[in-house]
Amino acid sequence: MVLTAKHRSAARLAHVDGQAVRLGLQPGLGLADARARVPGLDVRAADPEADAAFLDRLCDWAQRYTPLAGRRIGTSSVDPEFPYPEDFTLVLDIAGCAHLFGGEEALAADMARRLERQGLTVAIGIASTIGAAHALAAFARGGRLQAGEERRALAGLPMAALRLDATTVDALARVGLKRVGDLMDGPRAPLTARFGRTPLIQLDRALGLADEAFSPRLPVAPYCAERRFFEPIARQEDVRAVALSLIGALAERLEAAGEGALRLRLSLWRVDGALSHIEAGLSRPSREATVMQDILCRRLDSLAEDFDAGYGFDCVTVAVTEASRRDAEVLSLAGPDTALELTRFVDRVGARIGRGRVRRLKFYASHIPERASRAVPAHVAEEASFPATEVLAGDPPERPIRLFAQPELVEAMASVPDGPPLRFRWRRVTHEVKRAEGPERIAGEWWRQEAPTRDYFRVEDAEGRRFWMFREGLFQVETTHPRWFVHGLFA
Amino acid sequence: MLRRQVAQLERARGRREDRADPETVEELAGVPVHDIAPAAIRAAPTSVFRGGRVANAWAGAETTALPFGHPEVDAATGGLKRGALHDVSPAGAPDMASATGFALACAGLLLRAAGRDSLWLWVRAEMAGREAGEPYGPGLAAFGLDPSRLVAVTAGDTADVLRAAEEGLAARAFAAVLIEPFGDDRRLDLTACRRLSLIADGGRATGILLRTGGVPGPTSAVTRWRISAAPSSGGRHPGNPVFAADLARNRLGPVGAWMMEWRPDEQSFRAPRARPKAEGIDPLAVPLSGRMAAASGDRPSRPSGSGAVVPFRIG
Repeated sequence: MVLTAKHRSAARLAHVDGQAVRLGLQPGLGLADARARVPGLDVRAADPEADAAFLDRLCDWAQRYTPLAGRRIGTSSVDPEFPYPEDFTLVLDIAGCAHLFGGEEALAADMARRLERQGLTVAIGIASTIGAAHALAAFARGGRLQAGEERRALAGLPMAALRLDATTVDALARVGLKRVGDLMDGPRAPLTARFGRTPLIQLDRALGLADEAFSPRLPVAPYCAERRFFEPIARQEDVRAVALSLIGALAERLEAAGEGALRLRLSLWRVDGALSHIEAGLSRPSREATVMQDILCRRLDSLAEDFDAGYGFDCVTVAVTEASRRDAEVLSLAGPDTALELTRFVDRVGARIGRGRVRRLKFYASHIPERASRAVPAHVAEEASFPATEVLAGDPPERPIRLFAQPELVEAMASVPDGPPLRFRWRRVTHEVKRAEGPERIAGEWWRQEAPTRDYFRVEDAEGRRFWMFREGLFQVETTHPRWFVHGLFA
Repeated sequence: MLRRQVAQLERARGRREDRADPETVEELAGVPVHDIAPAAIRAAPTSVFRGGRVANAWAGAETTALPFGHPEVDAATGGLKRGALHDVSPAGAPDMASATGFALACAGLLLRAAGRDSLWLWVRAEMAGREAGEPYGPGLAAFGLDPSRLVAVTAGDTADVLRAAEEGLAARAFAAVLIEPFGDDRRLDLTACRRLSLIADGGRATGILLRTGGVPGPTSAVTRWRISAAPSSGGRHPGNPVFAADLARNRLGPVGAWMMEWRPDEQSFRAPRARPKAEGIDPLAVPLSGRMAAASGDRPSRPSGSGAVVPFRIG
């Protein structure tokens, strides 16, 4: 079986399976050639996005071994125009984690066992440098190197094991440098002059003489608590109970550090390898176990319908992904603290129906009515943004209490050039205008975009319903056919 | 059906009777919202109306009723009862803005009484915003309500509206909670309504159930108002909002129907003044309320004498 991808309007092999390799096929070969050589070939199209997404999921899954798990980085060893076969490498930094699994070999064995059970073919290399581990995994079927063994182990591997691009590998091969060992003892200056710095830098990195940076896919959570199960748990109540006790442990650590959680993430590892995250946010740092439990439970409840435990979860972690400094609370004797109550309300309702749905109104200094007031999520809104307005006696409201997001087009009878409407038809009902006031002329903000002038009228119909209407465009100046809209409703 | 639900509710409350009654609001704070149905309520809250004040037997404290400011309405109802659920619905679909106005006016009364730092909550279904418009800050300010103290929740469906409303009534942050589901939803049944009433009872917040665009269903609210629009009391321009308020149900006193004018400057109702004679508008001379300057950006201002009336059609 082979996977193909387009290269310069010709289909080429992108990936080949073990049997195809034995039949003499390799990536990069044209599909027509391959078909000629092996008539009964099983050909499928490659799907790089799905591959990348799968690798990301796998990378998150690998977080059960270490928080520092990332996709492969560094130079690609393939032609950039036809980037196949892609590099399906994950990098895990297991320093300090291996003993939890009974040593490095035991960790590798556990990982290999679990991945093979999912139908994946893996090669695991363990070494002190990313370069050496990668070379082991990709070119030596895995294995483990003690610190200091890199030189000997790498010497016999092909040059591509240094993660060099194809052209460099070819150029090196042409002068007879085919093994990694050929580079190790050669004179450095002429090599650099001829092939650039990359081959030697990669060599130094693999040997641990130069540093190599590595960034995990997900930022490392400052606080994390986890629990593993020999027998997987499946019931939602059990998951909840575990999450609650983990939060209890986190709360103590937050307390000791003088910090509060802003974001929580509950991760559930399913036995069959699927991983799900449940996140919840708090609008102010908190380290009370009850508050955190409350928020996370609400989030769990809201997902109750699509909670799929499958064959159960064998590992549950709760991480504080965002924390900030928080000093001890001062207890207020003056009754309920409105601000605190409000943040609690925002968190609770936000966890249940979505954080962005709890909003506060924010004032913007703009004459354009729909731009003057905007709803922003409550957890990011600052306090009191509307200027204090004093309503004078005898002033009827000039602005409607409810505004339509989109002004609604109406048919109207009105006097020209700028008289109020006399009769209009809105939502299939005709309204006779009895009182009106206007126009209040609001010109478009020319520095943003050209928009026709609006003449606003407050009108009241025969039944006493009050509307805020406008005529778009000045008659015979901007347009010959101004349109009328209902923009809002007065009480 | 209805009876069975009530029976269920009573049974559920009976089961909870052995729980220690939460004595203070402090203790109530940790209890999940659906557990706040103190056993005491079953026996107690025969609220006694005493000239403008309503004594709440359960809380042991006096829950004041706020005067509307309209003498006849106050005499009949004793004012707007705090710590309770009130039901406001429009008389017809086009009256939804008036019903909103009346509910907002009640919130205004509550906010004025609650003091400076109290907030108000408006939970509404997404459809309500689309059909009747979103709350508009400058307009609320002009109506006498402080928009910077508003917390607005948009919920996807009635279940979420009720959920957020229950949290809002239980939280001690809000003086007034406007609950606006949309449409005729069977989830807004008597049980849901009673839950809201029970949470509001004795709490700090007062709930106002605003049924925009919905058929009024069963309710357990203290009062039920049906609001329709009424011509305003201004001269030839639209003046302060006037509501034709029909108190269709009142558990504390008599019912009735009144014309009520809302005064944004005093945050209070009053009886509308007798209307001036001028009916209809003269298209040639549009008077101004005094706030607005004549707008004529492109030519000198003139009392336009030569305008023709023309129809403007869509398209």
